[in-house]
Order: sequence, then C-alpha cells, then structure tokens
Amino acid sequence: MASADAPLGSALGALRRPLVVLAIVTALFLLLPVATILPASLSDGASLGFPPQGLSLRWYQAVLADPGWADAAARSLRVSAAGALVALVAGTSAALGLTRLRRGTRPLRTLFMAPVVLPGVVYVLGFYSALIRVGLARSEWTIAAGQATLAFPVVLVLTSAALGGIDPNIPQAARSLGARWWTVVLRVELPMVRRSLLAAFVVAFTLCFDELVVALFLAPPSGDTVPAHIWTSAQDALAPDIAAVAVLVILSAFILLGATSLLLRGRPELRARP
Amino acid sequence: MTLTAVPAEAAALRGDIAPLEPRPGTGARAGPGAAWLLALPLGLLTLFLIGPLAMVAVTAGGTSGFRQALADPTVGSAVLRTLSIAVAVTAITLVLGTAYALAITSTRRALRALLIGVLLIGFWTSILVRTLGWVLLYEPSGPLEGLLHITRLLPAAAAINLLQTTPGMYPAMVHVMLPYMVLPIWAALRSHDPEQLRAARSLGARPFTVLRWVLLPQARAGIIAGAVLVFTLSLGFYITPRLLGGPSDITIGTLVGDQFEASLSGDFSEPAAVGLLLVVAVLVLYSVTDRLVRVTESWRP
Repeated sequence: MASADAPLGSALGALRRPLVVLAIVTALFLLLPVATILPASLSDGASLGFPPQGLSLRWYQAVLADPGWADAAARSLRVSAAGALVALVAGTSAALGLTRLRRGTRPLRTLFMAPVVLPGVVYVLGFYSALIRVGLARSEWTIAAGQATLAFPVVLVLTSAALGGIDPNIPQAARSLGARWWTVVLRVELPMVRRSLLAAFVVAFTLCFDELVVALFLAPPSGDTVPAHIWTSAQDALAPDIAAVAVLVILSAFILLGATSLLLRGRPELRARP
Repeated sequence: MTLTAVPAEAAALRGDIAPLEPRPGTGARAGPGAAWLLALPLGLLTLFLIGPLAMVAVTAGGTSGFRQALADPTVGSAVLRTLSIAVAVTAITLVLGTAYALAITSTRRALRALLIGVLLIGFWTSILVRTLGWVLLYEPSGPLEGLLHITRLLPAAAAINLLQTTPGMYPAMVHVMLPYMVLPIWAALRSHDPEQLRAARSLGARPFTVLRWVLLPQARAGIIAGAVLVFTLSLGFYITPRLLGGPSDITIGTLVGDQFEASLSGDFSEPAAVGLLLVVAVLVLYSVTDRLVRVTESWRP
C-alpha cells in the first residue's frame, strides 16, 4: 500500500497541502475535549475552572477510596465480562456458521449487524416493556443481555475476518479425515484464531464497559455501572472527581486495547495459500 | 506435508471447492453444522433484539400511542429538529471526514501515524467521556473561553455561552461521529486503483479533476456507507444532545428517553409510537443501503 500512496499523494498535487492542513486542524479538534479532561481532574479546587487552581491528586484519591465508585466499578466489571462472553460465543458461532453457507449470507449479515444502527433509547424501551410483560425485574443480567446484543456485531466482524484468514486446506483436511463438524470447529478452526478471539473479547468488553444507554435504563435499583454513575453524578454538577473517573476509564481502555493490538501484531495467523 | 497433501490432491480432483461449504452435487444448502452454529446467535437475537423491537410495536399499541404523539406539539418539532441536526452533522462530517481520509492516505509515515492515532483515540474513548470533555470545554471561565481569550478571538471581558444551547451541540456531535465517517472512507480509499490515477495524471488532469472524477468515485461505497452510518446514528442519538442541549433542544432520542424516564410506572405508548417510527425509518434506510454497500462493516474496528 505504501507504493500506492506516492501516486495518490502526488496526484492530488496542489490540493494535498490544504487537505492535510484541514486534517490536522480536525485532529486537534478531535483531541481538544479529551485533552481538557486530564487537567480538570488534577485541579486542586472543588470546582472546574481554567486555568486549574493548583495541581493535586486529591480527586483520584477520593474516587479510589469512595465505596460508591468501587461498587460501580465492580458491577461494571461483572456485567461487562458477562456481556462480552455472551457476545463472544454468539458472535463466533455466527461467524463460523456463515462460513458454511453457500447462499443467504447477505440477509443474515444484515440482520446480525443491525444492532449497530439501532437507537439505544428505543431498544431499552422495548426491552423494559418486555420485562414488565413477563414479570421480570431489571438486574445486572438484563444489562448484560442488552449489552451483549450490542457488542455481538463487533465480535462477528472481528472473528469473520480472522476466520477468513486461515488456510482453508487445514479444516478441509480434518473434514476429509473424518472429523465431525464440532471437532473441526473446536479442535481446528478456533485454535487457529485464538488471538483474534481474545482481541474480540477485549473489544467487546471495552464496548460493554463504556456503554451507557442500556446500563442507565435497565439498571437494577441496587446500583449502576461506572458510565451510569458518571451520568447521574454529572447531572448535578460537573466536579473534578468525575473528570478523575473519566481519566481512569480512558487509561484502562487504552492499556487494554493497546495491549491487545500489540498481541495481534505478533506472530501472524496462518495465512491462506496464495 | 502429509497433512495437506491428500486433501490438496482430492480438492484438485473435485475442482477445488471452498472447503467448508457443502459439496456440490449433494443438494445441501449449507455445510455441516451450519444450522447448529447459526441457531445460537439467531436465538439470542430473536430473544434480545427482535423481542424488544416487537414489544415497542406492541406498546405503541393500536392507534392510541400514535394519536397521543400526533397531538403532542413537542413531537413534531423534535422530529424536524432531529432531521436538520442529522443532515447538518452528516454534511459536516462528510467534508471533514473525506479530507481526513484523503490526508491519511497521502501523507508519509510520521504524520499519517499521528492522524491515525488521534482517530483511534477518539474511537477508543467512550461517547460519554468525549461528550463530558465538551461540557468541560464549554464551562464558563473554562478552557475554551480561556483559549479564545488567549488567541484574542474573543475580547477579554466577554464570556461564551455554549452549554445547553443548540449551536453547542454541533461540534460535539461532529466529534463523536467523525471516526464512523473516516474509517469506511479510508478503507475504501486504500483499495483505490493507482493505475487510473497515473493515467489521469499523465493525461494532464488537474488535481481537482483527479479528485472529483477518479479518486472519489472509487471511494463511493465507503463514502455512502459512512454517510448512512453517521446519519442513522445521529437520528437516534441520546447522550450528547441530552448532556449538551438545552430544555428546548429536544431530539427524537431525548424525547423518547425523557418520556420513558418520566412515566417509569405507566404508560409508554407515546414514546413507543415515536420510537417505533424512528426504528422503522432507521431499519428501512439501513437495509436498503446495506444491499448496495456494507454500511456497518466497511471499517476495520
């Protein structure tokens, strides 16, 4: 691809510079709000102002010691893990199933990817109405179920891509040696895409962790997740402790996703025959 | 290798079929295990996707919900407002996003890594956190005001008032939507045909002509995918309008959310009716365009 960019870059000629300048301005625009959260969290005073009044870590200390935030964090971890696991199993299963269809993959994929465009507020309204109708209460399970549905398409895309990159002769070999389909899946295909499965889980986990609408409206009375807690706290007043939580969330997401990216960049997957 | 030798020859004899698909001539429509493998996700989606959506339709229930919605003056204005916001946000992100994607594909290593990095930072931080950043920026005596004062774009005594206002929502929404626009366009641009570019240049085409008539048409699928994705996401948006919009800046998303919250014990027929219309519109738009371009898949997450 690098060699193809030289003609593109020079083909754009005089347009290249203004486009790049516009892109850089846009990049600054993208960074600006994220960049203000960090100094706001380090403010010494109780209110947010600019420039921040003194630097201190007191808000981080306050947040880490606060049982309300700790409870929300624990709940977030539980719910996200459960949701991501369900999304992983369902998404991988869907990806595997789609590789075995000769026709009809298109409408199925459209259905499977639909949660991405669905308006969350309407979705939770229907979900809640259904809960009332069957007499179930909102719980951590309901959050996990809703978030799993939203994370499912992402897992599908990631695992489909990974499965598409394996050498097709190998599962074929297993099949012609007499292996039943579940053996091929469990002992041949899935082990070959191990790393992508892990990556898909991490991405789904991050998605569920950050998810707000389902967590907000389908939360049990016993407590909420971290994003929901941020939301309700932010309704009253935006204090530096919320900024501190936001920084912690960003950092953990980066570490998690960054580590996964590095993991995937390691040993290349078994590639298809040229 | 003995493991692949036998099937390779066998495959050659059979005419090199795709390995996991059903063998031709057997009349099967699906390879082994397909039914079981697809049953799980289909079951999950039926229960947790189609179920809730069906309940929205049921709750909107007959005509009472729709009658209430039509009688409610806030609904009509919310719909119009949402449409205009969605169109504006899509247009802005289209321009900025295309420029960004073009810049990524035409710059050298360092700058390109920077641009991609910033984009991924935006993608990896949650919508809530990004919106909170905008709230912080808009704070009275906050960073944005300070920045404008320092750069002399605003006189020192003046204050900005963007929190909970309509114009304040736009930058934040563009911010949130930009990665969804850039990624499909960038993916499409990466598979451009360099030969056509070379041919165009050697025939003396000016840069704008190359862009307009050669490059962008090749990226058309990505552009459409990005635009449709951003538009549909903007229609149902809740978080950013709710946090940054004022009491008169109601969108369909915030309307449904607020009504849902308000009547937490009782009658959801009005928000369900409005929500149903939104969902139907979104699904129609999505399924129609998904036939042409892969709206939700044309990016590398």
